[in-house]
Formats: sequence, structure tokens, C-alpha cells
Amino acid sequence: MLKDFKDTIIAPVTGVQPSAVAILRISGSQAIDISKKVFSHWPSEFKYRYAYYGTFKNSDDGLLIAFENNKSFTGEECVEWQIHGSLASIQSLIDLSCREGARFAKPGEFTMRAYFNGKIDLTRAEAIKDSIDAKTESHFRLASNVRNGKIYLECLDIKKSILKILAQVEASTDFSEEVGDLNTLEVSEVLTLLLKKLDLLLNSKSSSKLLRKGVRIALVGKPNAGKSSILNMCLGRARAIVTDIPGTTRDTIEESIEIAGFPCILVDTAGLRTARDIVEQIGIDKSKDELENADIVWYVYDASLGWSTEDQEVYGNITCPKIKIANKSDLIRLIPEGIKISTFTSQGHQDLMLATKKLVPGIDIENQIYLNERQTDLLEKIHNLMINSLHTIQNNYSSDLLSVDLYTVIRYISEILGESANPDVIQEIFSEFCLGK
Amino acid sequence: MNAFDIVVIGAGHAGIEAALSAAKSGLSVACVTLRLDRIGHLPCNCSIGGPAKGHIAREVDALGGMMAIATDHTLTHIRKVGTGKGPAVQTSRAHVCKSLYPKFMQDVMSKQKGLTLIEGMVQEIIYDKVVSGVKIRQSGSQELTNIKCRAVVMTTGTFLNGVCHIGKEKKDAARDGDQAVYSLTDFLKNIGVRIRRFKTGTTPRISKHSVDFSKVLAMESEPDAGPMSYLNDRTFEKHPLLPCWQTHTNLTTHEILSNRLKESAMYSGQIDSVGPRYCPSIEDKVVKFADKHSHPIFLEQEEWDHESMYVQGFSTSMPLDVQREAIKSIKGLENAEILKPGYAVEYDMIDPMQLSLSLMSKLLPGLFLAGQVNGTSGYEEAAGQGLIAGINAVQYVRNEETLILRRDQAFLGVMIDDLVTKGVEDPYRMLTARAEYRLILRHDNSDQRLTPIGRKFGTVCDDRWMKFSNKKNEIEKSFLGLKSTFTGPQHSYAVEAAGGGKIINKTSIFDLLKRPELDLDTLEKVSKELNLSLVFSKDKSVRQQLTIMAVYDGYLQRQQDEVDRILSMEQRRIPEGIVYAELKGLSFESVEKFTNIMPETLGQASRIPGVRPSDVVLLSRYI
Repeated sequence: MLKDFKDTIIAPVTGVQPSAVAILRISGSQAIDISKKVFSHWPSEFKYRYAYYGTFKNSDDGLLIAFENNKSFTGEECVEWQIHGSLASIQSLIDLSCREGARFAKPGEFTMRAYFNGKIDLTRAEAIKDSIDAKTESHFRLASNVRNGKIYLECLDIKKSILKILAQVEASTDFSEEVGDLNTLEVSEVLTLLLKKLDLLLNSKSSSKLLRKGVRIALVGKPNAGKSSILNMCLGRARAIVTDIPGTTRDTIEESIEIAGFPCILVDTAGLRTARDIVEQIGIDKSKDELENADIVWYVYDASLGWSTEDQEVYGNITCPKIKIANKSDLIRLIPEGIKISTFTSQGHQDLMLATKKLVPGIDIENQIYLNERQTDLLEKIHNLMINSLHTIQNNYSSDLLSVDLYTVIRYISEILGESANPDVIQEIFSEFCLGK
Repeated sequence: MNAFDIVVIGAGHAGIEAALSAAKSGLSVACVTLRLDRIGHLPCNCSIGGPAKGHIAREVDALGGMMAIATDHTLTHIRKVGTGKGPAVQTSRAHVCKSLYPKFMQDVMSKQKGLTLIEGMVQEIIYDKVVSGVKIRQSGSQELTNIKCRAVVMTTGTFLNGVCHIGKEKKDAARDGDQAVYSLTDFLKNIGVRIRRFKTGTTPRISKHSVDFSKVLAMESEPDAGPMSYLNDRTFEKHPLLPCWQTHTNLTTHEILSNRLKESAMYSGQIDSVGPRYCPSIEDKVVKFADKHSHPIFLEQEEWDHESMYVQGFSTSMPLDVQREAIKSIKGLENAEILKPGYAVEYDMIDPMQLSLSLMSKLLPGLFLAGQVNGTSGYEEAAGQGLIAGINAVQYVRNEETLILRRDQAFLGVMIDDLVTKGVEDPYRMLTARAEYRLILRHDNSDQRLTPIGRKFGTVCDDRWMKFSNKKNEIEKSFLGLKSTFTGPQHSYAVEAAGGGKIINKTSIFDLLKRPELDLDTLEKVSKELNLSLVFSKDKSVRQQLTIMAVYDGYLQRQQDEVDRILSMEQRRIPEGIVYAELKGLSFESVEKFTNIMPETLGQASRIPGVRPSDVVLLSRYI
């Protein structure tokens, strides 16, 4: 991919399915030349960043907008064609362009060029992918914060402060006769401050992880407690088969919903009892696995039958956050333990959502960020090194040991920003992108 | 007499190491110098070592050089520096006798087998695509003699077009009492070498008899700093070591200097060359650090049998009367008598970016350059380059592998890589801060890092090799012993009695040594008490290595990890003759820089200032 860096590349940026409008992007030194050959109405007084209407060589018609070097997304000469979203039209224009010297872009290639041409740093490049992949609005907002430079700017700031400390360390070692010893008090104050900044960034770690993986919510309980009915209620459609025969659900069923901005996976499980046959036994084993894997357990019991000792035994052993749900509460007069639900009337649905919301981390869409695994890993390494350097300085260990850690911090920051990263890592990051980005 | 394998021009600190290391290989070597009695001369202060410079002196020694041996034999004063700043920064600073040190070197040079000393001036280097000889005018003769050779090591120091300045006085000379050299600059320009002017300076010398010692602080020698050379078990001073004395400049001094600043050769515009940033003249300090009310001054006796004292920290090119007035304003120097004024010298230096990492010119195969002419300052920096250039001249003549030390192997590697990759803007002085892996590049372990390399390249003699091997074996044996001898809770009482913390789990003696409250002496006592079958080495330097290995274990490991991480980049060689302009995708600036510098490895390419990381990534895909 890197060897072909100077090729002119083309791809649909709007995906490959029939739609009202499709946009083709062509980027590279030949982008204008090829556009001239493909677009029949090239204006006599052409200007960048103006839209021109006309017909294309394949008889489609639409708009053309060109962006000059450095001012385009990729940092190269770049032209976008807005055409009808017909797969046939897209294909024929790509074929025409390739005959004129363009090449079909690989996934992520436009963004990679933007990164290599210095238009964006690595975190902002990654945030483009993360925004596109976002499944919920909150996820998108947090990724957008990164796309707008939140990690980039913070990292630059931290780097600047650390370089300043290092300059002091170096001056005090090489020129101690002139500049005196290191002001350790001042340095440890700065380090403490930087650690707080890092903490703030890393605050987003757990919510980012849940946004990435989704929150796994297991519906668990005895047979015929109404777990499947609750699943259907939450989805707003009859997804799981519901009968009044205990043990109807045999295999686990997974469905996605959004709660408090997180993508959640609702997992309906087989009711827990002594199995009647081998199929049910497998289902029950799976239910027990789910109890281990879940981030949250909704424990459902039949309120009309009451909370049993078996219920208590299972419920008491659940280690993750859990909610007790009294289903069929429309059948009783007494106020039962847990959240009252009636799947017939949908009564209690809101209460269940609210209770679940309390169990996931709150998201501050203004200030939090979406941290991917690579960024999290590097930020945590930096955090540990900073704690170690603070320890070094507070224990009056010699100052050149401090620099061992701080130089490594600088390297990790450069790695986060993609200023110095292993070529293979860079390739891998961009290969995960979707087509046309 | 008219043909040698290698000719070394100059016999300063670079020339000496170049000539000796080349001659040790068995090739025939001539060393041409203007005055045989100036071999190993110390024109500035008589000090060897100090932060980073001490490291280089030790590295030169570990590779079989002569500098540290001569220091041990001509020592007048020695002190430890950087104590308390960590193991990486610790080193020593020695003062040597200004008359004995050159005599020692002259003796060594004249006795070296395969080395011929010639008094005279090299007028020209003869070449035809490669170096083929030199034209020499011998002392006392007007005739030019042609000498054939296959390689030349130029170590001309400040001699090329040298001009000395004292205030407005100006004379053509390379330094006090030595004539300058003119013809070689023309030769260099003819082959395309870029020449620039640098300046450096020295301090006035004052008479010891005129100093009021009651008003200055005596700093005694610290003989336990140990010898500089790994070859020596002790130093060989002629008399009991001397102290050195400290005093300070004050506001009156600064006023005198700033009032007459216009008369300084530097500030009057008479000199427009670039001076050393890290060794500034006193008038520079007064201007640049205007907020400082005082600068430290050290008085160093230059010779055993002479009254002359060097005034460290007071390098100047002011007129003599200003020097006198300013000196007299300093506490303790009220009646000081100036024996010789301070002066500045301007000289031609070559752009080191036109050298390869072997220190051979990229413009003329067979021509090596080393020392101050490459834009460095300092005896140690010069000696280090001389040694490497000498070895590589031999390797060139023999058509064998060149010696290139990496940045993680030696300060010498850091220095040469910096010179060749980044060039110099002002005289380059070694600083510990220039080394990224300095915890590994310590004063104490230079032999462990470099003596095997010197042995491979033929500069390490049998004596040194034997000594090194014994020490290495003892370190390894002791290290294994400490690692494989374990203590447990049952031994805790003895450790606690010796002032240590409790032993809770099975712990090796090596791990106990990591504890801040325990040292090797204590552990030796404890293990005797406990009848552990563990033999402790008696060798002080071995014990020091073991202690450092234990105490800094975590840090050393982390730094080693960093080294391992970059090693793949350092070992990726860029093939010669690559045409960068033909590589698709490289930015224009990078093409230009790569073409000029011709980096030898991917690591070196990545350190060229202004090269985008993405261009290094691209380059990595092509090679």
C-alpha cells in the first residue's frame, strides 16, 4: 500500500449500494486531469471549491467539486463527483478513470494519505474510523471529540511540559556548576498536575470499553418467569417465542438495544431448573456461562409465585451488577421485592431502564472521549511511568534516573500521535478502515 | 621512507590516537607534525575528563587508546564529578602536568613499532579518484617530497588558516607560538569540501605566587577517584596531588567587562565566526546571562614545576589591560600577575555532514578527518575521533569491515552520529544529555562495552585483554552466585541485625542487594554469619559492577528494552548508490537530505533533522 503512494486513487465514499446520490472521490496528482477526461462540461474558467453541474462520459449527470493541494482532506489534489447512486454508473466511472491512470483505492487509503501528508495526526485518523463505526450517538459524540483533536492537543501539552522538565534535568547534570541542582519540588508539582490530566483522559477508559464491546445484559431466572416476554417488551416486538409452557426458551437469544447511550446486548437464557432432556441441559449450561460473562444481570422471577430460596441462591451468587425484576406483578396485590414489571401493560419498563442506566458509567458527551484499545494501552503505560518518576523524585533518587522514564513517556506520546510509530502498526491501523475512507 | 600505508597529519590528541591505532595494526604509518616537541600539547586547560568528556576518555582507553594511560602517569589533580546525580553521570576530572603529558606521548610515539615521525608540513594531498600520497616540506628544507600512501588521516585542529586575537591585536597563528597552515584548505575546497570558520578561546595564565590563597576555596584532590585507565591499578603521580582553588566573578568584574565590550575581538566584529555555546568566553557569559551576578572560577596549576595557573571559566579575547583589570576584581586575585593573556583563535573547519560514519570523506576515498577540524571542541572528543579514524583507515587500506559504534554502544558513537547526521552549528562539545541511553553508557562499564570491539579491530593489547577477560569472568561468576544463592525467613534475623528489613519470601542475595538499606559489604558479612556458600569478589571494580547491576536493575532493563526496540532500525542497512529521486512518494526535502547525507542505516535516516517519519516508513519499504 505504501509503495503506491503517488498513484491517483478513486473510490465511492458513500458505500456500494443503490442510493439516490453517490459520491466518488479521486485523489492524487492526476485527479484533475482524469476528471477533465471523464466530465464533459469542464468549465473554461475552472476554480477550486466551486460546484459545477454537467454530464459524465458514461451519460450520468451530476456535480463536480475540486479541492487543491493542502486544502483537501487527503492533502493532495482531490475531486469529488456527485452522481446518481446506481451501482452501474459507479462501476463504469471507476472503470473509465482506471483506464486513464487511476487505481481503485484500498480501504482507509484516503485517510492514510491525510495522515502521511501531515493533515491529521494518528488519533484524529483513528477517530474518523471510530466515528463511522459508532453504533450510538454517544459513541459518535465521544469519537468526534477525538476527531476534533482532544487527545492530540492534550498529548502535545503533556509533551511540552515533560520536555521542559527534561531540559532542567539535563542542564542540572551537565552544567551543575552554573545552574545548580534540579528543583525537585517544582518538578514533582508539574508531574502531579500532568498525572491529573492523564487521569482525566483515562476517565473515559471504562465507558469506551463498554461502547466498543457493548454492555452484555443477561436475563436469568427460573423457567416461565417471563424472561422472553421482557426481552420482547424491551425490543418492542415479538422476537422470542413466548408460551406458558415452562422451559420454552432452550437456546440463548441475543438482541441489541441502546440504554443510556451504550449499545446493549440483551441475552435471553433458558430457565434454570433440573433439565428434562439433553437439549435443555445444554441450554441451562449456556445460561450459567452467561451469568459469568454478563456485565449486568436482570434476574427475573414470577411475582405471583414469590421469591423462592432457589431464586435467592442463584441471585446471591451473582457477582456483577444485578437487578431483581418482579414479573407478572399485575397478578398480585402485595408490593414485591425488585422492579415491578407487567409485560402485558409494559408497566415498569421505564423503571427497568432507569435502574439499568444507574449501573453503567455516565457519559459526559462534552468532555469525555472515545479511547480505542491502542490509545488506552499507551496512555496507561505513560501513566505508570509518570507515577514511577514521581516516586523517583520524591525518594530523592538521582535525577538521571528520572530521565529514563520521562524519555520513554515522550516516545509513547509520539507513538500515540503517530509521529513515530512502527510502519507495520500504521499499516494495520489503516487496513481496518472501510472502503472510501 | 617515501611510501607508507597511512599518513597521519598532525600529532595533537586526535593525531596521536590515529597514528598509534593505525600502527598497532602492523601497517606502516607516518605521522607528520610541524613540531615534534609539540606532540600531545595542551594549549588550553590541562584537564582530561569531566561530565561526558570523562566518559569519552574511558571509552578511548577501553578501545586501547593512550589518553587515559598518559593521564595516570602525569596526574597533578583528580576529582570525582557528578556524584549524587546517578550512576550514568558519574565520572572523574583529572589535571595533568602540561610539560610531562606531551613528553609521555612523545616517548610513546617514538617507541611505537611501525610508526615514523616526520617534522614538516603537508602541502598537498595527491589523489586520483582515491588518495595516493602527500607532498611534504620537511622542517629546515624548502624542497617538497612526495610520499606515497593509500590513506590520509587529517587531524589539523585549529591550524587551517588560524588567526589569533587579543582585543584588537590580531596575528596569523594557529595558537600561541604556532604557525598556521594555508595550502590544505585550498586542497579541501578543490575536492568540494564545505569550509566554515569557527572560533575558540583560552584564558589568561596567572602566576601562582600572586594569588591570595586565604581568600579562595581549596578543593582537595580525591585520589580514590581511581585511575583513568583500565590498564592501571593506581595512578603514578610524581608528587602528592595538588588541590584546585575556587573563587567567583562579581558585579565589578562584570561591569569592567561590559563597559569595554566593544574592545573584545568577539564583540567588535573582528571575529564573526561561531564560538562554542557550551564553553563560552567570560564576556559572552556576562552578556548572555546578564541576570547572574557571579560565575564560578577555578584556578588550576598547570605544571609541577611552574607557577603558571589556568583560570578556568575566564576564557577571553579582551585587550590585555581589560583582562588585567577584570582579573584583579576577583576575590583572591587582587594582586594577580598575568603571565600570558587569554586569546581567541579562528580557524577553518569542514562540514562533518560530508563524512561517512567511518569518518572517511564522502568526496575522496582514503581521506579521513578527525578532531577539531570536524567542528568539535575538546581533547577527549578529538582523541575519540582520532582513534576511530585510525582504525577505519586501516580497515580501508585492508578493504575490511569498518568500525561504526552505535549510539547505544558508546558516547563515541553518539558523537560521530551527531556530527555526520546533524552537522554542527557551533563547536561540538560532548554532553551526557546528547546520549539517549546513557544509563547503559556509563564511565564504569566502558571496558565491558568496548574492549571486545577494540580486540577485534586490533587495538587492544594482550595485557589489557587478559585483564579485561579476568574481570569479565569474575563479574559473571559473582553475578551467578548472587542470583542463585537464596535466603528465606529463617535467615531474616541476621539481615535484620545488620540493619535490613525482614525477609518474608525466598529471596536471592542479588535481590537483597537491590534494597536501599543493604550493600555488598553488609551482605558479605551476613552471608558469612549464615555460612552461605557464596564467594564475594575482592576486586573493587567487580563489586561496583555488581552493585550497579542490582540497584539499577529495573531502570537498566527498561533502557535495554528501548535499545532492543530500535535495534532493528539501526541494523537495517541502506544499500549504497540508492537514487532517492527515483523513489516514488518521498517528499522533495527528504530526497534532498537523504541524497546529501547518504544515511547508512534506517536509524540514521530517521534522525536527520526535518525528515518526516512517513518518509522513513516509505524508505523502509524500498530497502
